[in-house]
Amino acid sequence: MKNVPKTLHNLADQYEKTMSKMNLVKSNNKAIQNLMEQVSNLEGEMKFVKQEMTSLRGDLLSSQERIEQTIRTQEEIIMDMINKFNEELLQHKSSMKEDIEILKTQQDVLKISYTINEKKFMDKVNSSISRIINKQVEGKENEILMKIWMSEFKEIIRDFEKLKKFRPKEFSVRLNEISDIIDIFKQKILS
Amino acid sequence: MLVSEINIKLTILGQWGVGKTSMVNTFVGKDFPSMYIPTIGSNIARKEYRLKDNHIRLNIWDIGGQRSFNPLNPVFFSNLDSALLLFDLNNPKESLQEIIDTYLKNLSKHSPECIMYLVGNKSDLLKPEDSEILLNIIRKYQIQGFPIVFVSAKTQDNITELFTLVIFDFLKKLEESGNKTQFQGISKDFLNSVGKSEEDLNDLIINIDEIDSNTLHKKITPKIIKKNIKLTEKEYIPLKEIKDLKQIRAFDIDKNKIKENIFSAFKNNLVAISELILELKKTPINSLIDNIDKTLDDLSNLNKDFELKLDSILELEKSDKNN
Ligand SMILES: Nc1nc2c(ncn2[C@@H]2O[C@H](COP(=O)(O)OP(=O)(O)OP(=O)(O)O)[C@@H](O)[C@H]2O)c(=O)[nH]1
Ligand SMILES: [Mg+2]
Repeated sequence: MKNVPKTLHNLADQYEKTMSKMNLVKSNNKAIQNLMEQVSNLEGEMKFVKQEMTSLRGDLLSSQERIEQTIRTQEEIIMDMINKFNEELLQHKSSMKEDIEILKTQQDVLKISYTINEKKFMDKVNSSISRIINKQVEGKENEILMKIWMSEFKEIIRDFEKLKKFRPKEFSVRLNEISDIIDIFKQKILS
Repeated sequence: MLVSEINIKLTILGQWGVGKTSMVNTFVGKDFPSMYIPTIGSNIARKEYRLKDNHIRLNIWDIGGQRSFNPLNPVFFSNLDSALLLFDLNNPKESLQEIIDTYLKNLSKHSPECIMYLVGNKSDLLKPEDSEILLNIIRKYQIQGFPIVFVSAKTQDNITELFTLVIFDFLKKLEESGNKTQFQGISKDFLNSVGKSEEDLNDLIINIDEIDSNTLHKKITPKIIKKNIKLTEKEYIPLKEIKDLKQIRAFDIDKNKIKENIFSAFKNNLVAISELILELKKTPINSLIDNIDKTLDDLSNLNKDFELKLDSILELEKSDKNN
């Protein structure tokens, strides 16, 4: 099949030659007869070429079809994958939503328990101070108070280092909290 | 017009036993201590003056001078407006040396701007025949550039006057430094409010290069008589340096009194802290960061002071058990 174009070329060449020969041998009958033979030969060859071309086209078509098929299957595979992916994504999304919901409720709980804890803490400070006093550890009340204060004070100092990063509003809230804690101790210790 | 708050931080420094605590106590109206109780860490006392447009608060930091159990804490030296450097007129050499060795260096490092005074205490013990020697000793030490004042915590001689001088000088400085018209005339207002004149204050200051022992004695003795305080003829008992709190038993010192004092100082520190926070709350935004740093410094240093106090109580308890 590869040499078809070459054959075609040759054919054209030969046709040219033949035509010139035909001119030459117009007067010569024998030559005409020869020529006729050659022409019929040529026709035969042309037929072959035609056949070759048809089969070539067939080949082409079938290979094209094959390629198309491949593309189609690949497309399908990709679509499958995409669909699957989408499905997973959806699943993920919903599970993420759930997670976020859970986190949100946890946060709410935390917030609430934080405020409760804060109040509890204050109550604890109050009650532990009065408890300690009530226990009447003879002559030791002051030292114990000092100790409680010291650990609280360390906490305050630690908090203080963070104050600079706060915005004015948060800052004053924190500062108020700190001074509230100090006031509690002040009341307890100065009373 | 808004009443402005003026806070003055004054520190009282000097060797152990020179009478720092006695001086502060008599000034704020507490009893003159009948026996020596060393100060542990610091104790903050306050005195307030309400003028028409201004509210002056003098914060007096009394610092323990027994070095062996009182480490120097930067909070005693930083952000000071004024400092009293106390020495003992009865023991001038050692107590002046201590000022030079320990306190002047730290003051110039941490608060070079503060107004300093050299204060000789226990003037009631000064005998006329010893004054010339005393003057020469002070001259020899050449602690120059500060006003020199002689006082007696025991007889209260010159005590109120000295603190009045401290506040007056501070207010004068405030008037001169500030472009705020708000403070114009405040030093005069203050003097009027306490019933003192500028001459009274100038009279206090001893010109060490010119004064002779006679003039010196005229300067201190008459006031004692004027106040009509009976001086006991008891011989002066020399004080002893305490090298270790655990050995306190060996000294004639009431341990429970020390504990009591520690706790009362602890309360005062607590008040000081809540005032620091209050001050910070009032700070304008633009100087907030600076003030947070400053407050944080003060708080951390006060924390060290708390620790020292608590440790000292524990040490005292150990001495209980050991004996
Ligand atoms: N005669 C006399 N004695 C004084 C005077 N001032 C203080 N004293 C005595 O000196 C001793 C020490 O006084 P304090 O005031 O405790 O001394 P301090 O400088 O605070 O000592 P530290 O806290 O250890 O640094 C006490 O026994 C006082 O009674 C004074 O003006 N005259
Ligand atoms: Mg003292």
